[in-house]
Amino acid sequence: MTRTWLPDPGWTGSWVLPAALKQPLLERERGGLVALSCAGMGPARLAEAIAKVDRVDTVLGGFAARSKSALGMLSRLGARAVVPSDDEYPDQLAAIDAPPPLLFVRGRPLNELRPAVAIVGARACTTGAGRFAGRLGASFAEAGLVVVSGLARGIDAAAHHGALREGSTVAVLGTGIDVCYPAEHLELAGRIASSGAIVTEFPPGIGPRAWHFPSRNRIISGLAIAVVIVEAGTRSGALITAGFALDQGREVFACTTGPENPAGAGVRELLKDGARLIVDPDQAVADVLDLAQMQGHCAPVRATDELDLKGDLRLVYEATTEGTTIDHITTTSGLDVKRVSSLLSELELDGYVECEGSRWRRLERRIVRT
Amino acid sequence: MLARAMGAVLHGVDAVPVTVEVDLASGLPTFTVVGLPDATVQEARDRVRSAITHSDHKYPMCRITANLAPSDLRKQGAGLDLVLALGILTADGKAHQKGLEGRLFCGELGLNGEVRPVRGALQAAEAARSAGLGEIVCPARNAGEAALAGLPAIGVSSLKEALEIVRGRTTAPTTSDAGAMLAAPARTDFDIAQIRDQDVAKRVLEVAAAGGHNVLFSGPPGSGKTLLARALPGILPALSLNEALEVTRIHSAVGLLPMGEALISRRPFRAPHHGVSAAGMVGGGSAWARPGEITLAHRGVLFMDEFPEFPRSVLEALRQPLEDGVVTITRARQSTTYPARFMLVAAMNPCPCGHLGTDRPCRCPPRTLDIYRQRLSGPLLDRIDIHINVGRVEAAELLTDTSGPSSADVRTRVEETRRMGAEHLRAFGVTCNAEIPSGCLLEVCRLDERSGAVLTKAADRHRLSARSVHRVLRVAKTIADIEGRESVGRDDILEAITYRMVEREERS
Repeated sequence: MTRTWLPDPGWTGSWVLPAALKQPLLERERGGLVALSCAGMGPARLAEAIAKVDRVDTVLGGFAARSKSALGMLSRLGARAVVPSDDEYPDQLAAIDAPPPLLFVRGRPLNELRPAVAIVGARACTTGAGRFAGRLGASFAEAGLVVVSGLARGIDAAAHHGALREGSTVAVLGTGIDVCYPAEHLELAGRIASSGAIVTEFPPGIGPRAWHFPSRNRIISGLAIAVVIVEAGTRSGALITAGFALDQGREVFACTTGPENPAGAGVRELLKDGARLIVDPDQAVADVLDLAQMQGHCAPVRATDELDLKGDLRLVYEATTEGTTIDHITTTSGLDVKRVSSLLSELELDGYVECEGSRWRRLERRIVRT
Repeated sequence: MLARAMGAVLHGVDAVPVTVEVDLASGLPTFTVVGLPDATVQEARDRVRSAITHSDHKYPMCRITANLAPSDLRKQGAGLDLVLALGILTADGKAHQKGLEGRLFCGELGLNGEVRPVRGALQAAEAARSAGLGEIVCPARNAGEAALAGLPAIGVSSLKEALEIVRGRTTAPTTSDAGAMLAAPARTDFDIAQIRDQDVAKRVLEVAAAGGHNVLFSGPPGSGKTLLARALPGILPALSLNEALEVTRIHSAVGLLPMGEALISRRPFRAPHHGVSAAGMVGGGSAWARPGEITLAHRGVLFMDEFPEFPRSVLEALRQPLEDGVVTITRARQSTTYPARFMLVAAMNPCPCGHLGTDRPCRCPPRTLDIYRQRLSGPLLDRIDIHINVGRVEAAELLTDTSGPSSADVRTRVEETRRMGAEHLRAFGVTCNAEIPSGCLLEVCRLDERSGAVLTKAADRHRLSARSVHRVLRVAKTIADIEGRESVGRDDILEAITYRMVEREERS
């Protein structure tokens, strides 16, 4: 089996899903596709070859024989091959231009992991942007949305971490399913696979190559109903994702950064071009949930503004606004430090407030899916 | 023509009695000192000669040999000057050997015959007592300190005066009343009431003082971390006599005893700069392993500002003393054990630029932040029970007058808490909550169902490691002690969880 997966020469960025792949596949056909992909045939040529015939079997030729061993290898890696005719293949993804004819997946079924929202951004991000991406990820996940990102350093990793705190997340790789790039995210990848999923169109054993990532980005935006760009330079991968999102008809959101922050140049450009602005995580969650509802991805959502907090708990919750110190809460609530500390700790455990440095912040809206 | 007298030299922070024998023999005039003297003892020959001459005596023009026993112990310091001079004068017939018996002499000589203070007079007196000697003759300025050993101490200010005493003149010995010295109102550096606001930090200090917990303050520049640390010695329980003697011994051995103070009655506060070497921190040196900052902070507070800026070797060297309360310095020639039971107060910025978590934006790239945090190893942070963020105090709040309880008030509460806990802790052979062994924690804390449930929930949500859970329990136990409760309640655990900021930040 060769270990080179080459980009398809002359790929124009547009093909439709062959009719043959929309019919249920036999095990041996599925295995044959995996073997063909492992042998170096890229998605465009795969789709092209299949499009010419009405049964997948006919394109496989000699590869049908390797079918079993290819599937065996996948199951040893703890992964599976997903084709468009499978229930698990997301409809969202099948509807884009150039949908991947073959996906390698580790973790939960993809069709359970929706509605999804993508968070992408710079690898070399500023700390503030990283923290914000984490908060966004956590807020989305808490609202029942699945966060899709690319397992890269910086914003991607922060978004995954944030989402893992409250829910599940999906990582789309630019390598084979058995390769971890960057290597320091091995543990993160394991956690993502156990509560969400890891997805790639590249066959096992394929390492990271520069041209993989733009191709991978179309899957990130394809899986999501909206794409959030947290921080991105001009000519960055995140902007490529935003471009795909627009082509695929996904909503693009962007965060503000300081006017002189070079890492935010791309984001400023997006905003100039009409991307939707994110003011704070709660508003972003509300906007994306509205979108999901409108597109029929989920049932109506409900804001639990009427909190079932009583007595001192309610007092402390109300005294905590944006970035309040404990000293401040003590003064406004009239309780002593000891009491305030333990009450805040209790509120934090239940997700009503959160702490950053020495400051506490109220989580305004806890949105739950009903 | 032979004289014999007792002196003492320092070994570590203890003194070892040394027998000094002086022999005058005919021959060319020379003065030889044998018995492993180091350079300062060798130089004593010149000081002794001039001192004798300027005390109106003739320096014997003959072959002088002085032997220092035990001969295999390296002797250092100028404390043997006086006993050498008196030995020569006695051997020369200016006094009777009888006058040297039953006494220990220590003191450094000036060329004009004056007796200058020495390091370690308290230990010398203790050594004299355990050697069965009846009194100590020491420099007048050290007499108060030496008298603490419970032995009559006779202070002399010149060689002449010392010779008079050897010849039989009687003088009333100096006495020291250690109890009175301890009871005298301690001069505090800094009163906790002077700190405005920062109620959380003040509360944390009280908890730390009551349980003996080490503390890490993280906060932007100008948040008063240094002031908070300075306030800690003032709220710790007063030193007991034994503790005060331990501290005095150490300070006396390195010559840090304040002028005119015989007994150190306040808890020490040491704040080494982050340029300190590992030897400077834990002790060391080639000829004499000098006690380091951690030993000087024994029974007191070691404050390390800019904690992550300390060299890695220094930080890691702290781990073992933090655990054991002693440090053993082993060099090729000797091995010395110093006491080092101190409370560590560390302070750091939240990030290299100092603005993380404040109103001003942090401009540190994440990698830099990781590197900054990684300088503090897990095992080291494990030995610090309380981590807390302190915020900057707003200028407006500085002006409002909210003076809280004074250091003395807080200290009374802390002493009361410790006294209550002490009985319980004796069963485990420890003196404060911070030292409770992990295995006994559950037994000590007596969690009920509700507090157990909240701890499990918090461990789950904040992803606390087993070690972190133990630290939460130790701190919660102290909080319960302050409240005067036998068992640890739900609120105690909830409060203790807010003092574990480092783990929370690692999540995000």
